[in-house]
Amino acid sequence: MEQEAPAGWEFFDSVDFPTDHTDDSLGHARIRHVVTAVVVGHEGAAWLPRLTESLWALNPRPDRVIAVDTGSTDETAELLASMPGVEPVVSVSARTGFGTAVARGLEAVGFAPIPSAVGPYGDDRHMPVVEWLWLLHDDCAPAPKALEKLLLQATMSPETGVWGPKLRLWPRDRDLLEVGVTTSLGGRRDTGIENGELDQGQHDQLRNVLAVSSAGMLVRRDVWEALHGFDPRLPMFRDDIDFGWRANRAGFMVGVAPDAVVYHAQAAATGERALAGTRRHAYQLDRANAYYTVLANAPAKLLPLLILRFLLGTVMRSTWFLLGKTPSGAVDEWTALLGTLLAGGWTTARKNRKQLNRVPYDDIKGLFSRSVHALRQNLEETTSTISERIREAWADEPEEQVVTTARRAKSTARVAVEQPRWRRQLIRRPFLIAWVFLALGAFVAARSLIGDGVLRSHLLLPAHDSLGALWHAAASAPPGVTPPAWLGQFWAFSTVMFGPSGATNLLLLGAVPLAGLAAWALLRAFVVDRVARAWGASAYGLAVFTNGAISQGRLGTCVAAIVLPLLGAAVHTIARRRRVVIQGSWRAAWFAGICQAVLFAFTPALGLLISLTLVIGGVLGLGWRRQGRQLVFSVVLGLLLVLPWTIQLVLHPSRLGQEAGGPPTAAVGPGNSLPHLLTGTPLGAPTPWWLVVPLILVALASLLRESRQRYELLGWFAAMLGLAGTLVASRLGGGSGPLMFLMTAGWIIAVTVAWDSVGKSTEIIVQGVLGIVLVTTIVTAGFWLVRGADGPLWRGPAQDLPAYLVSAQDPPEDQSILVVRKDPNSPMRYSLVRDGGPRMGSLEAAPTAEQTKPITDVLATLGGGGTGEEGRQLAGLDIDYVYLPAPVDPTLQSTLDSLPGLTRASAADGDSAWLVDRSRTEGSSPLQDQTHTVWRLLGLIAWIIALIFCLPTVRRTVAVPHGTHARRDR
Amino acid sequence: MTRLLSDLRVRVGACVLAMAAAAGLGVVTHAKEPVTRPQSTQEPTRAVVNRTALSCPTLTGGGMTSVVNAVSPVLPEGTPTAPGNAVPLTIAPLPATADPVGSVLVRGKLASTTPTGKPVPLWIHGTGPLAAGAVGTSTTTSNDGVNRGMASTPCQQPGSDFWFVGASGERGRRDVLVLTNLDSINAEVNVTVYSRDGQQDLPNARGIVVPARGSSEVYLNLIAPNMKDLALHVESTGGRVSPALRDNATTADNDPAGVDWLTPSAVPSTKVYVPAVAPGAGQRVLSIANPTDLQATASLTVHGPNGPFTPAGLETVVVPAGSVKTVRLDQVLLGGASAITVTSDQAVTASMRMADKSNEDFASIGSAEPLNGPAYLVLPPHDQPAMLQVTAPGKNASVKFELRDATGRVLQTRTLDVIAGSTSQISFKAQPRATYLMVQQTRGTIVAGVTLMPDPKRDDNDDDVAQVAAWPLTTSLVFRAQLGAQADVSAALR
Repeated sequence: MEQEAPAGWEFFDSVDFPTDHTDDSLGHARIRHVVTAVVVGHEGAAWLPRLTESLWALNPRPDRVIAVDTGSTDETAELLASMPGVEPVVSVSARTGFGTAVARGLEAVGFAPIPSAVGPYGDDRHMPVVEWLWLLHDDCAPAPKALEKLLLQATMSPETGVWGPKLRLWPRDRDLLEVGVTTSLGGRRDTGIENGELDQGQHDQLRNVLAVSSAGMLVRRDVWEALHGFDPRLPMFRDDIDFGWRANRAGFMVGVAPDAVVYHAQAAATGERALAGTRRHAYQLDRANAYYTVLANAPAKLLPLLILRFLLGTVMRSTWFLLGKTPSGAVDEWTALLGTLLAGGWTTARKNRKQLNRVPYDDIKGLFSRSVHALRQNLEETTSTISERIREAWADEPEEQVVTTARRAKSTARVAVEQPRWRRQLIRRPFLIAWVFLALGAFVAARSLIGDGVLRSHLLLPAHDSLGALWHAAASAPPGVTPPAWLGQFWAFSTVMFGPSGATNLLLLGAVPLAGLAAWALLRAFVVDRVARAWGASAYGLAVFTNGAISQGRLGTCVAAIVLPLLGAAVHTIARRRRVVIQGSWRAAWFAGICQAVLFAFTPALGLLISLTLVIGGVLGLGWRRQGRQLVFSVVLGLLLVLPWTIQLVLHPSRLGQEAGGPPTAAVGPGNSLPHLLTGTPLGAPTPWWLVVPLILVALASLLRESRQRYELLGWFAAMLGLAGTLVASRLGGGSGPLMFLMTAGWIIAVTVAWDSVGKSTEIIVQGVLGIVLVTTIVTAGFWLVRGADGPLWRGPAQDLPAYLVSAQDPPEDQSILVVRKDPNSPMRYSLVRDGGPRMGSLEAAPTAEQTKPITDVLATLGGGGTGEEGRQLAGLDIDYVYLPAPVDPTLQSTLDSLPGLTRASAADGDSAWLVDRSRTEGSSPLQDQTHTVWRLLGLIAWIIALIFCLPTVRRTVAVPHGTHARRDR
Repeated sequence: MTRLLSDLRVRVGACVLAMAAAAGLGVVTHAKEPVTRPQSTQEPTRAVVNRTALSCPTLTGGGMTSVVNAVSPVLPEGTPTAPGNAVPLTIAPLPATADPVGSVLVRGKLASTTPTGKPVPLWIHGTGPLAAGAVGTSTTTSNDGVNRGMASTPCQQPGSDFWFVGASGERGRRDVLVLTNLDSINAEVNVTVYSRDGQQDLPNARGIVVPARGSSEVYLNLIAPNMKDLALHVESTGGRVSPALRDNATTADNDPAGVDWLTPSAVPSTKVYVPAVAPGAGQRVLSIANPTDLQATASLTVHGPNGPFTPAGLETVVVPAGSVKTVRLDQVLLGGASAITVTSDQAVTASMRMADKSNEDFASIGSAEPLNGPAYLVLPPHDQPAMLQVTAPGKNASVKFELRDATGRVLQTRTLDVIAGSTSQISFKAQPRATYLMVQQTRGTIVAGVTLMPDPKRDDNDDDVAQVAAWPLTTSLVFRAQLGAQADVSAALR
């Protein structure tokens, strides 16, 4: 008796009901197909009604429908029982795999009986009968003609033993899921279909494939029995590929019939239905089964290579997981590989499958996915994962975001609607305009610093020639001397920014736009008014110039100016009160630690000041709770990351007064000038001190307002902190450039916040005050453009020696040149030039007096007239040349002229040079560098850990095949 | 706190107050100059000499007796000893393989070579404790021939810059510049010659190579024939040399008129002192060399036994640029033991040529720097009393001297006050053996020298050969100045 179709089966549209005659047009002999369908259900109540509907609509229908329920807790069993023409439901345990469940169902019910050949229309005995097994998932729905099309293809190519339909997304989207599936020998499942690819018939070729999904798979009974069904070792994942592979090896072809469409809900892949067991388990199982499938089926000659490839892949993937803060992923990788390799199940499987081997591997080679293809897909996936994670990381607070959006809407509301679109866009983005101006201005200001050579000033030694040299210098110093920490950080920056010289150019000449950009990132957090924000960021960028950091070549202050706002943003993220349960952010704390490490390395005094403030402020203001602890942690992390530099700072507190580049000069501080001290303008600054006065007055006026005083007071607090630091530093003989920069930055914050609050005001006083601020900034910018960024900073050769002496330092000569400078009324100063001469960090890592004593002694004696022995002594110290730059001291010159063992060599005009006769002496240099390998290694590890912790987390993406039927593992 | 700061007056006041406090502190305190360069590790200092080498030239020819006396003198109390093993102070011929001809292992005792008739150039060298202050004198005496008379000169330290004034390339003079190189590599020397006609361009005097451990001789009558009143500037451009200028004089009728070494003069300066103008009759010629590009106007001050005076008619002596001027001072000095100060507007240097009244022998003494430490001098045996002449060209000064014999025994010692501008003389009686003298200035500015003149009562026709000699006293090399030097990485960059 025909059961009635339930209502609502219009689910399928007319496309699925082709009206044409579907009989074989090629006039093949008619075949009688007897189809036994097996539906395996597991917690599938949500999808089973659709399957039932589609079974109703199916024409022809399977001769027998066997339903297997794998221990569902919902009404799956009832729904299975209500399917049309279904046999009594077979119940198996929840741990039964798909293949086993099918086998159980077949055991319990059996294949459909071959109906009597004698029907109402005569004897069909002459028609051959073919028995089929049709596998269905509970979350799939075959189109009404699916079985018919499959059988039609089966009729036309009888040599194909396994058929698969085209899988499309549930319920009836055009998203293509699978048209046959294959694997790379690396174990990667490959459907050949892009993510989100629409079905436009582009894959509709009838073809042989390696395997088809088990959803809608039509298997000839003899094939099924010959292959003993699915491998019971593969309860989930790769069971279909393994089956198809075995079928191909046994000489049964596997084909895909794209006319037959099966809709699939991907319940397991999309996570709508939890995979039994944990995700972690699923990932491990996926990998393990992939390895198993390949190992069990691949030809023996490829096995060593494949194992090697698995190992390599595992190493790379586990590294990726470790970087992505998911160490359990790495554990999964290794347990999957080692578990599979060592368990040895695959060797048994190989033995069992030996008898299948009827088709040589080379004949089915074309069915496998190319490794290059797999690599490309991997790459695509990785990049999309990264971008997705980064997007997530930046938008970490949805409920605050709403507020900001609302405010933004308010702030942009007044943009006139009738303006042209581009103008509207520009008005909405004042910082974009300002930043473009700053970036172009940086080029204009650097006009006299463009060309050959390296940037130099008395506070900036030439950058290293190569990354390798910088890498060496970052951890090398004479014994007992600590190489400066900033060299290592600068190396890391240089690797991505065009080498040491390029990085110097970028940091110094691009300091204004870069600092402006960083400040904008901070101001976004609490300044809503776009114009105020744009002004604040631009003024902050210009403050780097007014501080003299660029024109004096003070790399430390430039870096600090870029890092300070980022640190501020991180601290803001930690310290602000949020309407969420968990306050603070560990990721921000790690990032704040990194920022402080940079400050400690580049501007120790500023780093110390800020760290102390953070510790005190964190503990007093936020308490020893999560946020306070995070702030303290960030300080400790910052101190740890620059080890052993921290020890150096403790042992030699005078180093606090330095910044990257070496000891300061009197120009890097206020000196005894009161206006310079109070306005935060160093003596060597390119702008007059009174340019800052309007800013201070407006910042003072901003305190008169009543609202939002927290940020303004913070700004003033920063300024006063910088003032106190400047006072102390200058009185102790240290440089205070970065501290004075902090003063300016504090006032800019105060004014920006005030502007943000009163920007909409139409009061004439307010407008006037803002006008003053704006005019001052514009005047400063004009100053910057007209004066330029040069000054003490200049571009020139990395060494001031004749070319032959510069090249003599290169291998294989590796000669050293003793440069002696004798100014009237001051003692001789000398430097031993080797390996490219003094470069960044040389001043900080200068050898101690004890180490240079042999040279000092020789020179001291020479200064007094010499004994005649000095030539030999110089040769014994591995010195090849002595060079006296102009102005040459005549006494010293004549002493050297008459010194045995020295011969005059050519020198630049006004200079003098001597070649030391080393033909008889095998000298050894008193200055030998020592490489701090252990510190470097520890530092690298610490930085990698810190960077990993401030990066977003990587998640394991389990490549759940679309056809996977969810069930628990055994 | 938060509530406090919410008050407008409080927060504005706090900020203003903070700035005012900073301003106040800024006024009260003073900024410290940042230390831009590494701290000087070695202040200018001095180190006791531990290596010395002296060149002792000799005359050439026959019929003479030549001897070199050297001593590592007793140093003043408290002088540190140089480190190293006690290596004897050795007198040896120049070749590295030659055997020493004299040595001494004890400080204070004289080492002498055996008097020889066929002298070779010798050098005195010492390392370690005996090096400091070591001096020597090379003396040759002859009774006839071209070398008749006494030629004695202190052995010379190698150097690169020397001045000689009073040489000549004219007939009647045979001046030879002997350049000795004690080092183991060749030296190259340029000699610049100034004559009374200005600076001479003499290609032959340039690029003279002095072989290692050897000597070169430059005959002035070959490179500067017929030029009178020469001043030589000996500069080495590589290596060091010890120059000496030998001067054989003959009279117009080709009779020998003595031989001596012209002692080097001090580096040109606007004020030069010519010490120890010997007393007695005879020719006294002052040569003033002006190596500058400008005409020098010099004035002379004679420091006689009774005080300073400016000789009448010689208030100003004009020396043209790059030339040498000679001034006869016989009439001015009147036979007194004197010294002369030449003050000039340009840097000049000078020397004095002294002959005995019979013009049988002569001596020359170059200008000298004032003493600033002990000066040692070995005196060869002398038949006549030698005269120590101490001049205080400035204010009152005092000086201490010690004369010791060959065994180090003190023969004569005294502390002497010298009246400002005058020259005091102390006579040392004739000694059959070499002695050595220490002169140390204890106050004021002192220039000094020792002269040896024949007995004024001596008859011209005496068979004895007149012995005229003059030895300047220069500060001995006990300490070597050490200028401060410090390592500074940025010294390599402009």
